[in-house]
Amino acid sequence: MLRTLTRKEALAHLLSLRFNLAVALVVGLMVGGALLARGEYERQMDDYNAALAARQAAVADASASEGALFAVYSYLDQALMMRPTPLAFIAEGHQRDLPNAVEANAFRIQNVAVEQRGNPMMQRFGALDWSLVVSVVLSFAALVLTFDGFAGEKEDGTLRLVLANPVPRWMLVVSKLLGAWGVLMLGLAVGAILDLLILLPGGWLALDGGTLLRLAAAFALCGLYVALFVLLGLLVSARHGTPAAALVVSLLVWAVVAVVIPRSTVLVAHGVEKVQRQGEVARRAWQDAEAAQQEYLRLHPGGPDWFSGHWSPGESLDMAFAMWRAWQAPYDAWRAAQLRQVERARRLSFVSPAALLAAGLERVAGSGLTSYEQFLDAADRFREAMGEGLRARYPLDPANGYGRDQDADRRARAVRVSPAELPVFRPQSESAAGAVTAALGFGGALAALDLLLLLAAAVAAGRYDVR
Amino acid sequence: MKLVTVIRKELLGHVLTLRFAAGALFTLALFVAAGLVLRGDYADRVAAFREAEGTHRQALTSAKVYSELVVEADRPPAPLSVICQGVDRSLPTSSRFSILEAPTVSGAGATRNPLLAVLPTLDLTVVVQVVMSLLALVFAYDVVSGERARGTLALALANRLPRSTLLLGKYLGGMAVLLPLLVLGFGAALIVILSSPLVAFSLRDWTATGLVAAVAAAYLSLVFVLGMMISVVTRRPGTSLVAGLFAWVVLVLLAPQAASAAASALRPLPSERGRVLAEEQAGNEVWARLADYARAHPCPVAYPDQRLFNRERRSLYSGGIPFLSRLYSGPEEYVQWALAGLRFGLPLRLRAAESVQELRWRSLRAMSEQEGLARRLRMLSPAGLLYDAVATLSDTDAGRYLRFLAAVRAQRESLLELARADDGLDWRFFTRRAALEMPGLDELRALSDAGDAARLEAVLGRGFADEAAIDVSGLPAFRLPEAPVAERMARAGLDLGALIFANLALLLAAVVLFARSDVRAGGA
Repeated sequence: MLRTLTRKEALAHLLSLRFNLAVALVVGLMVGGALLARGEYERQMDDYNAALAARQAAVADASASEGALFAVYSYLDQALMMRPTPLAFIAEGHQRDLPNAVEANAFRIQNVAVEQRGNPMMQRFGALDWSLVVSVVLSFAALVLTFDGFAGEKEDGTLRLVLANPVPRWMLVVSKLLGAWGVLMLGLAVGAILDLLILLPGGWLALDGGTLLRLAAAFALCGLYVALFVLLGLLVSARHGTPAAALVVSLLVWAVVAVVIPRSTVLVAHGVEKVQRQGEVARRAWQDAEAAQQEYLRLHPGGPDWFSGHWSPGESLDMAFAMWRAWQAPYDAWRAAQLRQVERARRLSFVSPAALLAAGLERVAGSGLTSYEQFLDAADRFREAMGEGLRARYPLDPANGYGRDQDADRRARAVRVSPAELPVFRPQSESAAGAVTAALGFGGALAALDLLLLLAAAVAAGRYDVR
Repeated sequence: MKLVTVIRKELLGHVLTLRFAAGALFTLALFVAAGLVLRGDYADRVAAFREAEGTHRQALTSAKVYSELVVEADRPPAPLSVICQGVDRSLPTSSRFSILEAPTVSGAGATRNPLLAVLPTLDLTVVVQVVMSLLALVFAYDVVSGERARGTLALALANRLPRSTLLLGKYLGGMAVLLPLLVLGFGAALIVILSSPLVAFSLRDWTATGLVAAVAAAYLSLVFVLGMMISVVTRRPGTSLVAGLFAWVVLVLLAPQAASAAASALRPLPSERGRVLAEEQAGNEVWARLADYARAHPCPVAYPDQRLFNRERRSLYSGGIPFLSRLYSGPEEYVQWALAGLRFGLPLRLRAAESVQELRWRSLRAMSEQEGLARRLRMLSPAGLLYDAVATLSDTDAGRYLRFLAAVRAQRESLLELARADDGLDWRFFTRRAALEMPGLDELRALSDAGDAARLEAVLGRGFADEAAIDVSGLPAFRLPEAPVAERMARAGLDLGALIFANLALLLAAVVLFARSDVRAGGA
């Protein structure tokens, strides 16, 4: 029985103009978005590879130079770059606006910046990714398909006919849900397959297990989100006497939930967290560094006390570490506050399922804020590994500088550094399983909302006056 | 007379509805909230600008030789970025240059949290663009189809009321609701914003604000007319709403994004990497020629005979290349050698800086052309038209940044002129005492060999600390000229024209379609 009803619903949708218009728009946008994303990814990978090659060349130069220990670990600020994700077509996650480059040596990370990401003069209007297409267009289509599910059938008189048969009302709700949801997901699937056909040739996107898992998770998140709006349409339809009234109500809810709330997040950001100005942080960092130097000199009297800004021959290694650690701390706190500000604001926007979907898709695609956070963590781990490597190789007493001691200077300068032994920077490389697990929370929240609306729709349908 | 009656009826019909009350309250609240955020952001940026400007002016007065004269120019935030942020916040805010170095840019408008770029912008223009346009559509979708479904349309037309008058009345009635709301919302937000002591509008800003409000009104009118036209051609209000919202999603939400993305695909930017390499090459060529020169003109004093110099503890070693940036005193022969090298090398380095500057301009031009194409493509969408026209009128589009860079370029010319007039491109580039005043090599050697440190110090001088800084009062203060409103209007002319034309064309189309439509309820 359920199958018959579902088939009837699905066929009615498939043959309708509104469905075909909506799906044409969805598929067209997805194809266009994939084409653009491919070009963008190619450009970003070129830049990334060029930056990587330049960094390796700089490391090789420094290793070959006289006094390699100082050149490699202290003088050279390695330019680390975030690796672009090939799944940006799912959720671009404002990658163009997020910092993607940082400079690091054994002592500190600095100059977190946005590099070579498109045109800064261009007005930003976001990207054409699945996140946008599903959260705005497909949800709109879901309401347009379902607003007359009950009210329309009542007007046509078919609802009483159907219910004259032994069909429980909950089954009617489920069949209408499955029918509309099924055809919408079919449209999305067509778009997804076309996307893959565009992206797979050329080897930019490898269809390995991880990618498949991420794609499946993204598809599932979209499915849960679309179901939400199908159910919303049915619920509103079962609460109103005429389809026109149902449509107005459901579309207004849609406009607020899918469009206005996600765009208003910035309004709450300033209230949830106070962030210092960059100038204040910089002043604080130098003050702390000088205080750390004084403290170090108090504990280790007698050594050379000058500090050139870069740890250099004759200077105490431990003092340089202490100073830069003190210098780094205010910056770390500052960046953590920046992240907290944006993350808390976004969490507040999770009252809108569209924000939940966007955050979930970003997590799955490996873009967005999380990828930036992971990039910073990776840079910090790299700095730490460099610091350990330097300590292990330094042949002299790290606590005290050697000043103008010619013999010590010769020993320090004689240390050879081979680029192969240096730590490798691994930019954010969250495993597919990890990303999908992290996205489960968003999926769970959407599923809970789905269940709630399903229940509400079933109750509303049960109480519906079909006359 | 009839028109007034229709307008009054429509106006009342709108104002008494729940959708008006809810929509108006929501919009006003959004305007005020956005105003609060924009005020804080602008105050922050102004404070950061003033601080940076003060520091940079201070730094300028400490240089002792011309090679050290580094000018840093700061771009003030555009006053009207409180209405439309445009790209004012995302573009670099300061530019730094010297005699040898072409201007480089750095910094961004977000002084506290660059990550906020992840959240969609919500300035007053976006509130109009997205929220108020939705409201306009909600008012417009059933003006004709609703009355037709209820059967009142045929009744109204049974009186001696021309159809065009009825439609015009409905249009004016709708606008009579929307425009006061726009003025109220804009006004409330401006009151909030102007309550900050850091925001002060000049007459030019007020004129531009008035124009912005007019453009916003034209945009809302366009959306309303579009909704009305859809209402004329569809038979049921439900269909009108679906078709209207469909058009809204495509035109307001999707088209601007698609246009920008298409422009970056159609006119890709040349590789930044290539520019960086070309810049490096320009520098390397100069160093190669200097190295050739140095081989032909070896240094008359052997390194590391440092006792013969006063360089203030800095290493003297310049790789044997006669291009010094700072030397207090030394043997006359050495200074003559360095001066000859400078006279050979400086023109080369100035030319290299010139070509680096040219490379950077070329890259900027490519970006500006890409944005120009995006802008033309965005004209297909009313929302794109609105944002671009408002950004131009508010002077928060890329034009202000290009003007800033042009002013920086002119300032570097002034710096070169100042230096040229003061021997700054000659011996004063690296020292304060002319070569002839320096002690001879033999005299210094004799003193050094005799171990007479006190005499040596007396001859070499105490160093730069006692010298006065370079007088930079001849350098005009850096100022970013504000664009006159007429020029902004001219740049936004195409967008404004398109907006007005689209309004008239759609209104005419709606009138014609209404004249031909069947006004009976039900119908085919």
